[in-house]
Amino acid sequence: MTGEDRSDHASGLDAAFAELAAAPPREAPAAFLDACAADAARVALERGTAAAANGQGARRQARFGRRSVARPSRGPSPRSLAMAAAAALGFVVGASGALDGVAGQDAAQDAALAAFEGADLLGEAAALDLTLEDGS
Amino acid sequence: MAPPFERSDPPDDAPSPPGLACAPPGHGGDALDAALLARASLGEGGAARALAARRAPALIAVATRLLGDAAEAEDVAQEAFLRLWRAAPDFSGAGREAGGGSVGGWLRRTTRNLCLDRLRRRGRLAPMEAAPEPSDPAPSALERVVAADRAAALSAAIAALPDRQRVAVTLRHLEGLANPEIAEALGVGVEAVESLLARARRTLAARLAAHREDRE
Repeated sequence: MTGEDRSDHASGLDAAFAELAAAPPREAPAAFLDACAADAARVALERGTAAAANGQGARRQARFGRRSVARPSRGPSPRSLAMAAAAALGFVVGASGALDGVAGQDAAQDAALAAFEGADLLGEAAALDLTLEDGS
Repeated sequence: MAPPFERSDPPDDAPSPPGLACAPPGHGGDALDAALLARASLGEGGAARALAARRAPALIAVATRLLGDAAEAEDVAQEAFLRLWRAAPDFSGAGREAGGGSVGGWLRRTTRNLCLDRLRRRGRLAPMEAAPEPSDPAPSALERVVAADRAAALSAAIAALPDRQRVAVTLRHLEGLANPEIAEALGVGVEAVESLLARARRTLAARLAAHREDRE
């Protein structure tokens, strides 16, 4: 133990550091927790939307390759639309169930809006396919 | 880019959502964190909120000490959690096993790095030769906590330290980092860290002594 260490010990600094390190921190504010939960719901939704879009693209590529070839125009299948709707509903329910009151409603609305935007993207992709196919 | 994983943290008693029993102190905290994160990554907001409730208090506390501003500390902690939600897939399967770390440790390291980045951007952690040590602020912070206990007095005294001393003391004595790690974080040599710590400890010891005398 150096002279400085002994001095710290004698002054009570070591004990005070130990007390401070062991002291339980104050609880995080509810608004902070709400914001974190909303962030998590948004990120999960973005990930789910991206995965759905990637899955559709991969299926199309596996079926038709990279060439823009004529094929019967189908758009998103009823099954893929149903899956996307179910996923969006799950995220909305998850977000609304996590939070109380106004914060929960806001998070649910954000999630629903993002879900609709994701559905729009799928619809645009299907419309683009239709245009290419009609022109080929 | 997510920082590398590191050691685990002691769990606390924050509530869990239905279906996940709260681990007793010292047992299963890391596993509970991982389970909550997995559920949060699937869009379960209750799990995300529970994980934030478990880990945020300690993160906000250390960020407040590093930054000297409670509101900014919450911003940093929220940013750390946002990065965690985005990095959630890295914590599942082989990635986490290879990293050998924990959610709690990852959050602590990310929060610490975010704080240091903010301080650097403001030039508050400039190299010692480029920025002379500022004069010590008035020690009035301690006077406001005469009636409080020793830990509270020390906390107030740490908050009144100059930026680099406060960061060095927090990383060394409250975060448990070794001097070389602190030197790397601050971008200075180990000897400079030792000097910062020595000056800080002298100041803190003097203020604790004054606090003790005030109470007697």
